[in-house]
Formats: sequence, C-alpha cells, structure tokens
Amino acid sequence: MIELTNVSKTFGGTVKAVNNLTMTVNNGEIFGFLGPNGAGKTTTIKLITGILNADSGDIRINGLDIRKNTIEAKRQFGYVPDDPNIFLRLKGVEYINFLADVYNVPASERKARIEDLANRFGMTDALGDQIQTYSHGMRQKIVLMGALIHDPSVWILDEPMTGLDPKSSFILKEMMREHADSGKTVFFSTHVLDVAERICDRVAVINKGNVLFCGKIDEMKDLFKKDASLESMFLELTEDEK
Amino acid sequence: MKSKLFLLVRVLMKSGAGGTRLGIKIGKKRFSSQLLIFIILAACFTPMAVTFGQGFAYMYDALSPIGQEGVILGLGTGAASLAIFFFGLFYVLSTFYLTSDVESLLPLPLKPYEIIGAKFIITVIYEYFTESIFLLPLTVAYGIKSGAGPLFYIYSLIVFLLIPVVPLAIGSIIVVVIMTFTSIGRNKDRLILIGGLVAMFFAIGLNISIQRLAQRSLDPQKLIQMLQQGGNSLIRLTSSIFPGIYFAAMGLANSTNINGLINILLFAGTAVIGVLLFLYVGEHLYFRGVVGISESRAKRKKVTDEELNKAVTANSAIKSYVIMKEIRLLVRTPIYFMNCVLVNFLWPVFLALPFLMQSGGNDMEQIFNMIRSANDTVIFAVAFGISVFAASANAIAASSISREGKNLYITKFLPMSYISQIVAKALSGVFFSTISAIVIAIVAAILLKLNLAVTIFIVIAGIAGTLFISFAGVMVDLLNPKLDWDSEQKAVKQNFNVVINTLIGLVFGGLSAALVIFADLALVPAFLLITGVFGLLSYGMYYLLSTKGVKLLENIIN
Ligand SMILES: Nc1ncnc2c1ncn2[C@@H]1O[C@H](COP(=O)(O)OP(=O)(O)OP(=O)(O)O)[C@@H](O)[C@H]1O
Ligand SMILES: [Mg+2]
Repeated sequence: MIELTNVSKTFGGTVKAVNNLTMTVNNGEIFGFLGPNGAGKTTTIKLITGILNADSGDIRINGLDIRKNTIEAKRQFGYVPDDPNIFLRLKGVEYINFLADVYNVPASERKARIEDLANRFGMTDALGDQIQTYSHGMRQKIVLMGALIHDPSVWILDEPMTGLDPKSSFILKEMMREHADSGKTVFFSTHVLDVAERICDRVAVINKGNVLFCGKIDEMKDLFKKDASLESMFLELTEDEK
Repeated sequence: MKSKLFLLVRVLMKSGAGGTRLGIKIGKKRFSSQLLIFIILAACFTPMAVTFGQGFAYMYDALSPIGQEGVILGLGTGAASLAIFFFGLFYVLSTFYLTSDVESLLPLPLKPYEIIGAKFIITVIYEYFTESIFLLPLTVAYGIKSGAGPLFYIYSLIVFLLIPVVPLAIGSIIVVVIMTFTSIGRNKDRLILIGGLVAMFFAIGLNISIQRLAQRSLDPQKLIQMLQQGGNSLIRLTSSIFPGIYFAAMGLANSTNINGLINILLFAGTAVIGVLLFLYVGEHLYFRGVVGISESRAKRKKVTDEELNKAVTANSAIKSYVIMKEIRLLVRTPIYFMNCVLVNFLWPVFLALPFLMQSGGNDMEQIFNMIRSANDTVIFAVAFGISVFAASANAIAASSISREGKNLYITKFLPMSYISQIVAKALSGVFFSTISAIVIAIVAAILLKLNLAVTIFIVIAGIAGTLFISFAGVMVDLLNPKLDWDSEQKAVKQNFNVVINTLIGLVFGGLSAALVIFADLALVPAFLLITGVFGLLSYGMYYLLSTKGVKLLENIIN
C-alpha cells in the first residue's frame, strides 16, 4: 500500500512539479499513473522512493513513513527507474547479486529466483555479460529483475514497458497481475493508454502536478457520460487544463 | 568550402565538451559557489606561484654571475612541456576517443581532421590553466630580474600560447596511432586500457632515450668549456628536455637582439610542423580507431550452474557495496583504473626510478648512503608523508560521489543508511591506498635496507593516515560533487575536489612529517604520535561525515 497525503514538490522555487497530491494505492491493485510529458509522474515516483524529499506532505509505504522510517520503508518496494543505464560495467548476474546482498536476500533463495526471473525474461544467455553489452530492452529487463529479486510487496515502476519486446511486455503484465492478485501492490507510470485500460484496476491522471482524476476507468466513463476510449478521455482531460 | 573546424570548436566549448578543466563553470545558477571555488583556488595557488617565483629569482641571482641565467628559461619551459606531454596523454585519449560527444559527431558530415582538430584546440586551451601556475611566475621573476623590455613580455606571451602545442601534438600522434592498432579487436575496455598503458610506457621510453642521447653527446670537458663561454651557452643542454624548447628559451633570453626574433620564429615553426603532422596523421587514422569505439564484446553464453553458484554467494551489504560495486567499477572502467588504481603502483615506481636508472654512478651511491645513514625516524616520517600524499592523489575518495554521476539517485533508494554508503566509498579508497602504503614501505625497505620494525610502522601509520585522507576526500566531494559529466575523465581528472584533497594530503602528510623530524623524536614515540593523531583525526572526520556528510548526501539532487 502506498499513501500520499498533501504532497508538494517545487523545483528551484518556480516549477511546481507536484502540487498538494493526495492519493492511495491499495493492496491488491494495479494502479496506473498517467499524464503528459512533464506532468510530474517521475517526480512523484522519486518522492515515494526517497530519491527526492517532498517540500511538504506525508508518504507512507505499507504504513512506514519514507522520511522517518527510511530504511524499513525502502525495503518494502522494488523500483524500476525510467533510465535503465545502471552500473554498465557489472555483469548482469553481479548486478543482481549486489542488490540481493543489499536487500539481504537469503543465499538459499537467490539462485532459484535469479533462474526463474532470467527464464521468464529470456535473459539466461546474457547474465554472464556486462550490462554495457545489453540492448535498451535488455537493460530494462535486468533492472526489472534486480527490482524483483527481494520479492518486494510493493512494485514501483516508471514506464516499465518502454523498450520491451511484445513477449517480455506480455510477461511483465502477467506478473503484475499475479502480484496484485496475491494481495500486493503494483504502481506504474505509462504513456501506453491501451495497456493502462486493459490491466489497471485504477488509474490517476496527472497534469502540471495536479491530479485531474483518480479512480476506476469505468468511473471516468461515468464522469464523461459516454463510453469513450481511455485515449479520448485522457486527451480531453489534459486539454481542459490549459 | 569553409572548414567547419572553428565552428566545431565553438560548439564544443559551449557544450562544455572538453570539460571545464577543474569543474569550474560560470553560469548564473551556481555563481556564488563558483566564486567561492575561485577564491579558494586563488588562495591555494597564489602562495604556490609566489614560491615558484621566488625560487626562479633565487636561481637567477645564482646563475647570472656566470652568464647562464637563461638556463632557467630552458628548464622552466622544458619542465612545462614535459608535464603537459605526460598529463596530456590520458587527457587526449579520453577527449578524442571516450567522450560521449564522439558518437554524436561521427554521423555528421565532418572530416576527421575537423573533429580531431577542434578537440585538439580545446585541449590546448585547457592546458593554459595548468601552465600558468608555473610559467607566469617564471616570466615575472625573469622579467623583473633582468629588467627586460616589452619585447620580452611579448615573446613570453607567444611562448606561453604555443608551448602546449608540440607536446600535445606528439602525445596525440602517439595516442592516435596506438588506438588505430588496438581498435582492431572488440573488447573496448581492455583495449583502451592496453592503449593507455602502451602510450604511457612508450612516452616514458621515448623520454629516457632522448635524455640518454643528450647525455652521451656530452663529455665533461665540453661541459666546462660551455660553462666558461657564458652568454647562456648552457641553454643548449636543456634542448634535450623537449623538442623545440631550445628555440623558446633562446628567443626569450635574447629578446633584445635579432637572435631572439629568429628563435621565436623557429619555435613557432616547430609548433606549426607539430600541428600539421598531427592533422595529417589524424586525417588518415582517427576514424579507424574511433569508429566502433563503443562496441564491446558479449559472450551470450548460458551461465553454467557452477558459475551461477559461484556468482550468487551472499555477502553483507557493506562488503558487497565496497567490493562488488566500488572496487569492481574502479578496476573495470579504464579511466578509473588508470587514474585511481594504477597510480598507486606508479608512485613507488617513480620514487625508485632514479635509484634504478643511475645504477653504478658513484654520485648516486653516495646519496643513497647518506639517506641510509639518516635515522629511522626521518625515513619513517618521510615514507608516511608520501603514503598520505599518495592516498590523496589517487582521487578515489575525493571523486567517490562525483563518479556516481547520473546514477547518484541509486544511493537514495537502496535500503542502506547514507553513512554506511559513505563509509563504503571511503573504504574503497582506503583499500587501494593501503596497498600503496604497503608497496611504498616494501620499496623503501629494499632500497634503503630498512629493518622490519620501521617497515611495519610505515604501513600501520600509513593506514591511519589513509583512513583520514579517505574520509576527508569523501567529505570534500560531498560538499560540491561533480555529477554532470559525459566522460569518466571529468569525474576523476577534471574534478576540483581531487585537487583540494590532494592539497589536504600534501599539507597533512608534509606537516606531520616535518613536525616529527624537527621535534627530533625517537622512532617509537614518533610512530605512536602519528598513528594516534591520525586515528583521532579519522574519528573526527567520521563524526563530521555521519552528521554533516549525511545531510549533504541527502540533499544532493541530480
Ligand atoms: N531535477 C529537476 N530540476 C528541475 N526541474 C525538474 C527536475 N526534474 C523534473 N523537473 C520538472 O518537473 C516537472 C515534472 O517532471 P517529471 O519528470 O516528473 O515529468 P514526467 O511526468 O515524468 O514526464 P515524462 O512523461 O516526460 O517522463 C517538469 O516540469 C520538469 O521540467
Ligand atoms: Mg517521467
């Protein structure tokens, strides 16, 4: 579960990237975070993960405050950043093992988990190579595997589908569903509205730091009083803002 | 068609492609902190420059009675050329081949000489900063002492502007040729590393052989004859230091007569030849070496069960952070390896070099015997000072935050306290500096026939000093990290934090050695005092890191 209460973040005194944002991502749901470029999605995610400090407001992950109970809160989630270019000179398996050490994954469970994740994403042949030899999509996948190695209850993914091939993308969506169905939390940002429409239990649409809508897609349809596609509603919502 | 050379220079300068040498960038954004840095910089280097100036003036007074004061000019310009040549090698390697702008320039319709020429010009410009610390005092001291006219200063300016050209042209040619051959293979990292090493050894070899040659052509009688001649005849000797230097020195020394003008023109001529040669080589070879520079080899072979078992051994978080992340990345990234790891082994070699090269000469033998007869405390103190300085000069701790670059955010979301991560970064510095201290102790022990106690004392005190320097280095880097870089070179070499930490090392290493020597302490008290003091200093620095340092890290945004 992720709870944000009245969270604000301003960059350099002028750019209000996140404005008094309040929302809750519940256990057992896939939550999609939508919005145009520069809307504040990545900033919000960085606030949740402790990469940035909020100017005001509270953020809790599984009830743990990211500012007060920092280390414990950070153990709750697995995070996939929007830029997968990390530690390019480590081998895939070294990178994952490093994270496993940091997250205290028991030695007995590591091997099986690495093998399972590598199998699912078709990365078994690449594990022994340095990450700098990977393609963009492969880097995305190794970062994803690293984020999931400690079997976190909360997944926080910043545009995880970019660069993934159809099969990997399908597998990821399947895994997200499984994870949510087991009563845990998936929070991800995306620009792919078709995907959001199909797999999200709830979505939030954000623009210029403000949440314009937060709820089920059906509720959005009720709001617009028509059975439109998410795309057309999204365009209308974010258009109004201007 | 107009050459795009100068257009490219402008663009690259603007985008900071060559890198602002010491991380000083004047922008509106952080002007006040940049100003502060400038002040610190000036405060650090002014005394140094003044000292240089006084040194030159002193030398002038000593040499002018025998009519040989011009030697100072030869030595000064020669030393500057040599320094530019050696330090320029890695700099050239990284700006020509390793900066990320290379990949964006290659698809453009540019001639090889335009790209490499533009990068060369920028490199030359950046050398002016380093050069000035040394040559400005020289010019002023010599000018005042000799009561030189305006022509001397004009010639000085010309020499100043042209000095980096020949060394950098030679260095660039070496690098370009070697990279052409090494790029045939695939494993980029290893080849760059090999290329860098080969270039360095080639450069050292070249230098030694030039000097050997010069020495051989000189018998003692001729030397005495030259001395008696007066009229700056000794300048000829310094010409062996670096090609073209003779003309520069003669030109400056004879600024009052026509000889000066001729020599300055000849000096400019060597610079022009150097540039033309370099552009010619670059035009023909640069693309061969640089195309595909970002390729690297992948096996794409399934990891065997056995390999996987080995790879997944569990370690504590901090151990893993130090070994898996910090040390592995230092060793595997060629630029870090050369600048941060390799130097630890080069120091002792450099120190031993004069001992080894002059084997057989009785003068040297006498000097050794003198050093050997010095008391153990002095040797201990000096070795300790060198270890501390070496620890600060390897740049590991002082660039530990900067090296994270765009990946700094990773430190923020890992479930590891900031202080443990800071300590882990310092420990990677301690690790290599300790190796350095051990090697220094061993080299000293062999060359100076030290007994075991002194050797062990050097190592133990060295570790205490290293601990302090590493903590201090991380602290300095936390204050003003340089995270916005496009080539690793900028994180370690063009990082002002490294300079500051080196100065700290110089001051603390030098001062404590001097204090111990002048206080005339016995070996054991000296050892206990130094180890104790640096133990305390380390603890103090750790405390500072755990309070102020953690806050700083928390607030760094990139
Ligand atoms: N480090 C920073 N410094 C200053 N402003 C920033 C910084 N990071 C983001 N911003 C600004 O904050 C706003 C929100 O950016 P953010 O990256 O959160 O957008 P986003 O929704 O993730 O966009 P995208 O879809 O392009 O990824 C933008 O106006 C951006 O310019
Ligand atoms: Mg984003």
